[in-house]
Amino acid sequence: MIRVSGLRKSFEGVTAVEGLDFEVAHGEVLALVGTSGCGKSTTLRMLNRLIEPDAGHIEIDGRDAREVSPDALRRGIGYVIQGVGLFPHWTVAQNIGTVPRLLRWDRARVRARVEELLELFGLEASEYADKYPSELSGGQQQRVGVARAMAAEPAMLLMDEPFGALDPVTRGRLQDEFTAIRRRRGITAILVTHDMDEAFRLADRIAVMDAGQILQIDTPERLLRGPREGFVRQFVGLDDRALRILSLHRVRELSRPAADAPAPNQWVSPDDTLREAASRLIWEAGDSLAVVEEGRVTAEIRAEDIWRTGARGAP
Amino acid sequence: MSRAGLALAALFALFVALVLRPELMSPLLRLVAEPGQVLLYDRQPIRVLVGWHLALVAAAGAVACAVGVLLGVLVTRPAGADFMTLARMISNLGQTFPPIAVLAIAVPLLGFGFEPTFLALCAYGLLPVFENTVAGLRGVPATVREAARGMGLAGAQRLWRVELPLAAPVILTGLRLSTVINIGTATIGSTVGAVGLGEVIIAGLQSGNTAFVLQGALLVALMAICADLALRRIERALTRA
Amino acid sequence: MREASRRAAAVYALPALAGLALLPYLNFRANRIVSGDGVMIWSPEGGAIIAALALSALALGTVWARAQAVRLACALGALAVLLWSVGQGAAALSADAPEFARVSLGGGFWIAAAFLALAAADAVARMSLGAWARISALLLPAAVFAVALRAGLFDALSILREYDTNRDVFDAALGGHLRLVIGSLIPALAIGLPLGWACFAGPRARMVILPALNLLQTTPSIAMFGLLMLPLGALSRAVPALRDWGVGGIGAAPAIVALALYALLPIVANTYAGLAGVPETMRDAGRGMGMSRARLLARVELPLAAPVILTGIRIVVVQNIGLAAVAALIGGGGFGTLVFRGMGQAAMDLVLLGTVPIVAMAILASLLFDVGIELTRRGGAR
Repeated sequence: MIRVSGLRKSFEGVTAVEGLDFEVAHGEVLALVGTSGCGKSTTLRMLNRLIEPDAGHIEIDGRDAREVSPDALRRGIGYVIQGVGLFPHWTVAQNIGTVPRLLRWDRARVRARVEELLELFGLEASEYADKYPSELSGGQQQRVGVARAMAAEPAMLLMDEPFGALDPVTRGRLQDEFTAIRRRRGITAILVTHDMDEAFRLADRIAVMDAGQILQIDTPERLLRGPREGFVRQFVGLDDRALRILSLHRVRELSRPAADAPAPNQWVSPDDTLREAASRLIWEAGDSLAVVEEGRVTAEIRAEDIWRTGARGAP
Repeated sequence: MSRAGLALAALFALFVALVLRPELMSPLLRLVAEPGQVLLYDRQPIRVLVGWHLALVAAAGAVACAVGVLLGVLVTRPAGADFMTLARMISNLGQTFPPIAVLAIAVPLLGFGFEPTFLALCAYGLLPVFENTVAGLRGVPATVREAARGMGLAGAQRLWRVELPLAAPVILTGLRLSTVINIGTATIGSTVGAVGLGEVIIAGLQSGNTAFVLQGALLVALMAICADLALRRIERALTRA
Repeated sequence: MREASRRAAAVYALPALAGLALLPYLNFRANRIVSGDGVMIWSPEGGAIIAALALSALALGTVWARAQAVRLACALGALAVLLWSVGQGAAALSADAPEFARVSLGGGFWIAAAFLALAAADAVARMSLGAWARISALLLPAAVFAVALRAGLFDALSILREYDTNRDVFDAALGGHLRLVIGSLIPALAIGLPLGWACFAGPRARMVILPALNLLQTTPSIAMFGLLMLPLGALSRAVPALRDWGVGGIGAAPAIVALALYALLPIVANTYAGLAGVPETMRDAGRGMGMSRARLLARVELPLAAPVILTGIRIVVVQNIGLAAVAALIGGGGFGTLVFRGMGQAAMDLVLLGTVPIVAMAILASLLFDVGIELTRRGGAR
């Protein structure tokens, strides 16, 4: 649980961040979004005191962040940075083991943790542990970067544009992986990004920042349905908001019972988003789709239900 | 004028004054001399020594520059690529040869005096110019070279209009290093009989006359520093252009 | 590709053979001062026609060979034949000559030896060996050469006759040279590394330190030695006790100080460049994970900067091995003593006796540093 209040910082007289208040609950992911220079990275770096705030209060799990020495504080917070920042002269295992070693874990425990994390991120430990970062692909490096941040079981993760340097396909795959790991392990994180889609995809709540202030902080759906006038409205983008709302929901939520049958040509699975279902319906010019699990029809989804979910004023 | 320019002008003026009127240095030299010793080197006028010293360095610099740039251009052309490894290895090896060794080896070939020193200076001055020509030409961004080709400039035109002008500051750095090294090496050249400022220092060392040593050392140091600063300014002007 | 590599090999083999064909490989002189008569490699004295043919065959072998290992073997074989034939030739020539006669190495030998060694080095470079394999490929022949030297194969050559009469001076010069180089390197490192860090830590310090060191570097070596004689001489006059420690205007002390001053700029500049070259993300990641400043420097910044810093130290060591020769002018000792004495007596062999070890030391040092630099670069810049 992180509680931030009245946070302020200025550089040489220019205000970077002012009057920030927000909370992140245990197991929640908050995204800070905004254009370059809006103060989102500064905010993140104040949380682990890479930048010291001018005023305000940061409380992590009930303790004032200023009571702890900066180094001890940082060892308890995972930090994933833009461009990965893996140490090129250390192997993957050494990189992941950085903070555990700083915390003086014994060797066997560090190794066990490294192997566990590599496994979690789908990297075969025997193959990858002793490689150097330059021998990995960009996506693998980024996985190791996130694994390194999670190594010492931190209370939370700070992620600064974690997938920013990757191509769209790899980025999408890693975003899915992150969500999956979250579901299994429960991660508390603050994520900085300028990519609104990434925020919708990964975050439970989104804080839109501009000129050093949080303009609106809400769940993705509420942000789409009721953006404040001005910058938020412009940044969130209203042209395709119905589709974006649909992408926040799963087919499972709207499925109706249907008779068991073999899978037809066109179908969706319960974990697909409504957006995917809508796209398929439009393509087929139909009004309902079979929901298929393991090759058998288990339910159906109707166009009218989907349209209603994406419509103004829907619950 | 900038502060660096002012410093250069002041140092240069001081150097000229001390060359034309060596007696200006006597109060300083008196501090280090034993009583009764001659203060100022009098076997040859200082301006003659400085003249020879500069002539030696300038002549060797011109040769080193011409040959070094030519070789650098040749090994960076596709046809000369085979020679690149050889040239770099010789150049690296040359770097490990101390100036005094080059000088010592030149003596039996050419006898004592101007010639061995000139040869040593040419050989030793060649290396920085060659190395920097290669580095400068290789440093021309591939996109720029591609663009020049795309606009239809022929090989020689690309070299003259694009590659050499872009490499010029780096090549000039090589010439500066080579000049500064050579001003020092020419000093050592006096041990094999070359006329130059080294004569003053060596005479002082041989006769235990500290005043001579100081006089020679100050003049050589001033000469080297002026040359360094002046060439640096040219480099900077070229980089800006 | 193969053709190109062959043409490159010809670049070494043909000059080597041309040198031997056009210039004498040995010089026979009535005494150590006069110039003498050239002896060509195919003359009956040395290894005669057989040596010349074997050498040519091996040299051309470096061009025809396909595998680099064979090229290397051919080049080293040719070098061995060359060395063996100069040893034999010198022994044969001096066997029935008067006592003062000297047999010295000729221009043909030097050119052929240099190009054959380059051919070997080129083959090693193209084999893309690991650092240690490369160093042993170069040191093994050197060891064989040392054994041959000790076994007396070259004893008839004038340079070794010169060594024989100057053995004490040579040994003293070796010790003196090493003392100058190492004695100046240690204080230069002790001062230079912290200064380099200071340049990195504060732009203001950098604006003062780097130009000042540049000025020092620009001052020619003789002038530096001369200028340093004054304060050190004055110091030893003022504090006579220091004279017992060898501090004075003349001798090793001003030489060591001067060499240390020359060493500062490359060390400081490269330490600064190395540290400044560590990407900001590395620093950010380290600090973000809770590394203390000292730990960040020791575990992240210095290891990443090590190749650049070592390059600076390599420059310094090679440069000071050469400059230390000049120290003989102010009584600093070292191989310069032999060089200057030889020039004074117009005895080329004595000059060579001083020059060859200097060059050998410089080459050895730069090879060793190359390996060190490569080893510190592991992982990092691959």
